[in-house]
Amino acid sequence: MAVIIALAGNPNSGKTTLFNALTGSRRHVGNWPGVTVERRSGALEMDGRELEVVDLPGTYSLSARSEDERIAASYLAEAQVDLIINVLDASNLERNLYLTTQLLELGKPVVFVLNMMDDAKRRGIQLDIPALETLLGGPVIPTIGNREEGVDLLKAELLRVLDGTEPKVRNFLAETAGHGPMDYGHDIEGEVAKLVTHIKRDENLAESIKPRWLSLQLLEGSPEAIKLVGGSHARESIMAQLETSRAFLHGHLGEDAATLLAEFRYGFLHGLIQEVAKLPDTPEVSHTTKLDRLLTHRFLGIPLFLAVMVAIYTLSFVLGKYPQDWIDRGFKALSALLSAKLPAGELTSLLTDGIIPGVSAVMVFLPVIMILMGCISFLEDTGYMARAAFIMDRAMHLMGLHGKSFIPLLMGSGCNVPAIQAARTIESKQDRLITILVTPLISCSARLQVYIVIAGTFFKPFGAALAVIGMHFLGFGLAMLMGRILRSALFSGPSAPFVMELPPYRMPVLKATIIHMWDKAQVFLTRAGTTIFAGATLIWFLSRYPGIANAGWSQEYQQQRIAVLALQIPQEQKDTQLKDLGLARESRIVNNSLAAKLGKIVEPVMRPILDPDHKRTEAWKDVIALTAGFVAKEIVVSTMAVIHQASEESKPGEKLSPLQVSLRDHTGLTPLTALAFMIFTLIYTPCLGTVAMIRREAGSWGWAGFSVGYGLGLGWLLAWGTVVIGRMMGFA
Amino acid sequence: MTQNQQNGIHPDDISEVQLLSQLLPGMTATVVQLQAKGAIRQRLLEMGFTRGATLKVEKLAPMGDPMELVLKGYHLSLRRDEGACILVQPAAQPLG
Ligand SMILES: Nc1nc2c(ncn2[C@@H]2O[C@H](COP(=O)(O)OP(=O)(O)OP(=O)(O)O)[C@@H](O)[C@H]2O)c(=O)[nH]1
Ligand SMILES: [Mg+2]
Repeated sequence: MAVIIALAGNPNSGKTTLFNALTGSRRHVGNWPGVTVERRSGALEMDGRELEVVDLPGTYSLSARSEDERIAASYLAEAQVDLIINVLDASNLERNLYLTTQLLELGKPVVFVLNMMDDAKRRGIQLDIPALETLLGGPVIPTIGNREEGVDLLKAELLRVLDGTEPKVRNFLAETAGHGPMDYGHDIEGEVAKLVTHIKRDENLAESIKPRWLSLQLLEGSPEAIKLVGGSHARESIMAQLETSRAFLHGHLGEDAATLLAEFRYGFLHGLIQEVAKLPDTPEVSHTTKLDRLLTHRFLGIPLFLAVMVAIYTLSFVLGKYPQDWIDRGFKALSALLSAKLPAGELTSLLTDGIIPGVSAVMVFLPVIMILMGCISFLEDTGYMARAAFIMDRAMHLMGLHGKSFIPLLMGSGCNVPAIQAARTIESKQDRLITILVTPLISCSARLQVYIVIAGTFFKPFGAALAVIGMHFLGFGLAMLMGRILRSALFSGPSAPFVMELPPYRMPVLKATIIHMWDKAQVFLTRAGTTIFAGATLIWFLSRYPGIANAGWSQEYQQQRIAVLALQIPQEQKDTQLKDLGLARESRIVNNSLAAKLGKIVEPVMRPILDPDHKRTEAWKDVIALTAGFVAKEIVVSTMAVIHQASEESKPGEKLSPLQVSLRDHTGLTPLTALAFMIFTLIYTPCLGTVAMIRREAGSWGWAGFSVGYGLGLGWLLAWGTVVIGRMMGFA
Repeated sequence: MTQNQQNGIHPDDISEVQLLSQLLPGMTATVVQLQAKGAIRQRLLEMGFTRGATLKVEKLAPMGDPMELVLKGYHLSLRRDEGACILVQPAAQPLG
């Protein structure tokens, strides 16, 4: 079995950077506490030895309560971890060493890495490394992770420690009669010893975890430790002793045990720092402080932040539009070429109406995702993201969200898919989940296309503009409301504390940004892409069968085409007629498809919204359009064009397109039901891409299903409310 | 302006124990007691809010919340709600 080496350290200390340097893999790094949220491992081969290096989420201590931190803490205590690399930020040593005091208590060999030596030097901090090695009882390797400096030394050191040939490794536990480098003083050590005696009565328990470590964890009130003891036959005596010890310590030292332990650790570190670190007498004002004077300025902070957001938005959605259009046009051209060259039939339709649009639905997101993620990764690496959260936290907190939720919400108005991916930067799981679940309510550019067609048909220009803007406000307002509701409904406990480190500004490494863009693209293509593709194909199937396989219809269509081709009329007219024929055929297929059947079944449910007077004969057609819109909301429009057999392109000189005329004159929709339709389109379900992304980011189909479900429910309620209230106010 | 605020504090007030959330930007203080419970308490402890630790209020966010603190040489942001769980003793002179 391979030797396992785990990387432990505070958030943002450079663990992932070192992991990448050690294993040659390309995990995402960022100047932002909490970037790594799950554990990852990579292989390292040295001297013919197989080593497995594990990158963990950053943690400030092993008693931490947040989920990511618990992943790290419980993994580090596991028996299979042979060696720990403790990554320390040399420019912020005291707080970083707090975790170290606990790591040493685990009783495993530890190699210490003093990372960010460049930062420490810049701040004029001088460190006495040999003294630190003596005090910590292990080798200390200075590194500059992002430049891979010191990594070779670290590798050599790892080998020495694993071979047992490193004299710097001190066995504290043996030397100090059981306790590690930390001595918690007479009172606490006395109680720890008593707990240890009780724990040792259960040999299995004492075997699975170091009794001293478990005692300390129990005193700190770690839920995990209590759970562990719960499975032991000695649990009653242990818990009784714990009660007594806690009461004793509180009465004797005036504080609860957790506080006392933390105070002892920081007390110890304070002394240690005096011995090993020399701080500059007059610390000069760092460039971070100077930059922050501007970037988090009372009046300038918000405008600057908004300017940065506008810049990202423009770059992603305006610039990204060009490659997006090229891809879109490329696929359209391909599909046109194929349908011209291949004989009409099921297979061709599968290609041109199923697979190609499916693949293109995936591919068109790619440029935007890459640009947006590149920008965000760049900002993360500089350290600005933490400031953005600092600036926006107040406003977002009122909505039940987190300072970092602002970015996904704003980006969502371009496209929800990358926006949900952008929620990654929120480290608290609750906040992230809520952000993911409310982001689909933000109206995206695809829905805009639907509003424009519908509002343009049923409202006067001014009213139409108002309705379109209103949709965006409604979406944002709903996101706020749902944020609050979800927060109180799903997470009844207190919200995660917002104690966030503001790391110093750093110059990002371009390579890291590019790698990150590429990684995101890959994740998207492989994970979300497959779902989108499968969904698009399914919708194609629903909307084409059984009509597409009807040989009689195909024959009829071919005969009609031949008849038109034989006519003695100008080519232009011929083309128009052929186009009309094609549309008629498609319309026939779709209007008799499984989706249409479904539409007719579902129509009664939608009746209060789309057909309150029960006068429309074709309300079920709207249901088909909405079903197809699940693939991507802009498809609502093109599907309507097919269903109603009316082109969505207006003829030159006419204000309304044939589709709009048909919608107005033949479908029986009224301005009020049209508005309800728009509201329903805004909310009813996230599109397929978004659902795939929610599934991927929230980690379960459950949440993806929930977002579809609550969207449908909420959309229906609001659209219905609009109709009811509108009618009471006398609108039709 | 900071200077005025500093001068505006009456010497008697300085020795009074206050809530961290009541401190003004530029003020320094030492931690007297944590009144938070559970996960927040644990987090504050491990971040260095132990009795006797000195901290400085660097600034408030543009909307007045959260606040930026300097503690043990690093910067962190803390919501005022959380700051209200920390009793501090303001110092007479700002650090540095
Ligand atoms: N100046 C400097 N920057 C570094 C050094 N090592 C890493 N960084 C940068 O520090 C930031 C944080 O690095 P990460 O490797 O993501 O840190 P981490 O410990 O994995 O963070 P979490 O996963 O959030 O716990 C990145 O922007 C790195 O480029 C270093 O030695 N010097
Ligand atoms: Mg990491």
